[in-house]
Amino acid sequence: MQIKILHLYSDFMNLYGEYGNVRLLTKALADKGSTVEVFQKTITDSEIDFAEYDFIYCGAGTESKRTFALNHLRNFKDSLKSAFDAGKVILFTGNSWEMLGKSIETADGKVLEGLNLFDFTVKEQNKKRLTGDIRAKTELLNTELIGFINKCSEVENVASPLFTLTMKPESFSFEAEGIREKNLFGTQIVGPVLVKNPDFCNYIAELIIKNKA
Amino acid sequence: MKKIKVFLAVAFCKTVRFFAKLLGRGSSLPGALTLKLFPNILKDITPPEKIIAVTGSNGKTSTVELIAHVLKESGASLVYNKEGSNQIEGVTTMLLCDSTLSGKAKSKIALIESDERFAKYTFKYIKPDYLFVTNLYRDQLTRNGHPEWVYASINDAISEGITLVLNADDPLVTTFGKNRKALYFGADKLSFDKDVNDSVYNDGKYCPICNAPMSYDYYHYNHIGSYYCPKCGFKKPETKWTITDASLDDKKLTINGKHTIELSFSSIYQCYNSLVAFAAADIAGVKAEDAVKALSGYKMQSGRIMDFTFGKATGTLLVSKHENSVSYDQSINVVTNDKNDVAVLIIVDKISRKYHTEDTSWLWDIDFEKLNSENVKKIYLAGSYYKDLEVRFSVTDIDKDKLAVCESVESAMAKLKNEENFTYVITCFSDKGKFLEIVKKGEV
Repeated sequence: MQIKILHLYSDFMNLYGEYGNVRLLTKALADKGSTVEVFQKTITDSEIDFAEYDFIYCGAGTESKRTFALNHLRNFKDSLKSAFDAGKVILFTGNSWEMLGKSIETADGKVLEGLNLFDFTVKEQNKKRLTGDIRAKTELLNTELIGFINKCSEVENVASPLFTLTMKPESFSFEAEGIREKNLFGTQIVGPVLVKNPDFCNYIAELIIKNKA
Repeated sequence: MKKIKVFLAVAFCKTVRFFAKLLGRGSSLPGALTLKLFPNILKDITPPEKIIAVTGSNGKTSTVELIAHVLKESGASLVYNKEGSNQIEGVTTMLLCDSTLSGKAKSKIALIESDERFAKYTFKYIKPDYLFVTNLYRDQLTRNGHPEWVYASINDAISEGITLVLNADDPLVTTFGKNRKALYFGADKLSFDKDVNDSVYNDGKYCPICNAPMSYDYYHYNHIGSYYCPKCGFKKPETKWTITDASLDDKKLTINGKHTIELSFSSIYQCYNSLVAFAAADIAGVKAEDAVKALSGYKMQSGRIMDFTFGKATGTLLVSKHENSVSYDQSINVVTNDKNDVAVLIIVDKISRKYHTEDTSWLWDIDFEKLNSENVKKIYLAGSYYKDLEVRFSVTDIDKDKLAVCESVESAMAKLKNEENFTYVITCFSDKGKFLEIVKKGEV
């Protein structure tokens, strides 16, 4: 099977070694007999058609770079929405998934319009980062997930979180984390989450193959 | 009242320091306890006449050691935080212990290494005359967030009256100088520069002012080089102190076209550290000839580079920083620049000695692919994170036969004992102890 992966903003939404996710997923798909091609689209691209790809990925960036990405991605929000509605497999990690909601209020009080795929809202601050190792569970997998969260935001009104945290730093007031709707997955876990969690990597790989078949 | 307060604070700090030393405690505790009792004490003391501070991601301790060496050689009356306690507590210890009981500094110059994130607290009352910023890299992101987050912290520490001394080759650092009093140091095009940034990521890809794609005339390493933004005109500024020539093979560098320094260990970061020391010496009024003399052949005391012998193996320990890919990239550069066949041992056993984290995402930012070099014959991967290392190496093109994956430092050392190639050991402060202990014992 021929699989096309789109890695969005890989040149700056790459703060915590996120490309590792794409490398390991490519390997997992290849091990299952697929041929994988990875494409990159970034801020200098004026055309993105999400329908062309079988999997769409975006990683974490600084808050200012996230704004930079959001302002660009807004031009393609209809295409992204159609891909989501059609059940395309999409994974956004770190602060990138926060772009998918209604709005983001930045630390300086500006309210940015989100991509409006979902109803949640995000509020950032610049005083304290919420960081720490976490463990999480989800009904999708038999094993617990491990990872690291590194953020300065609060997300409100997520209808269907991806994970329930089973271990977290004391400073985290939230128990539920991320988002899952159809085949879209968002998690605040930064870095190579698929590297640290082979079961999750395998789950995504199988979903991509099933979806394409 | 103020006099009594200062008297009590200085006496208290010195007493605690005395007993803390006896108990083998560090230089941070006395200041910490003093600040508990006298929170604003730094406001009430008379600090040295001239204060030079150094902050940034990498090279702070080495740079401060070099500056201190040059200033001491020139006979300057100097106090500095040589134990590397670089937050407000350590600085408080240093300044109060250097004070008379009336709170007046004994030394004429204070040289302060300052943690990037806490500089704003330290410099609230102790305002540096000159603040050096060495660079801003991805460093300990599990607690620092990211370089722009650290940038904002340093920015809060800069107040009027401070002259900034900035690395002109680092675009983000340069922007501190916008509309402020700033001097710059940097390197001209050097023989080993590159036209492209071939490291894993490029934090200089977009202009820090306007976000447009930037161009580079050359890269010294990673995103350090000569950049310009075609859209807004932001570019590498003119430098007052400049490496005009450097040869890593001949182990020397030339500053401002005429001052040549011989290096005892040849690496690009040692070149930058020496440049900063030269600039600081200039600012402190040391003659260029005297600075060159003091810097030439100076062997670093801070133990970043150490030779070792273990069984058949001989080699060099390159202390690098976990959670800091530039530091690892530099060490890898040393390995691949070696003209002889070599082996490499990489240890990730404990990520930090100061806090606990299991995050290994930083391994993906290190350019391990470069170890796929003709002269690298064997690579040992060891420590409790050996699986993370193994997966990371699995996406490189390095021949699997070259890799020896070892689940502990001990099992790696048992193999290393018979290594015939000169061996570079790359690891962090947090892990070097375990390695050195086994070396000292001579057996596993």
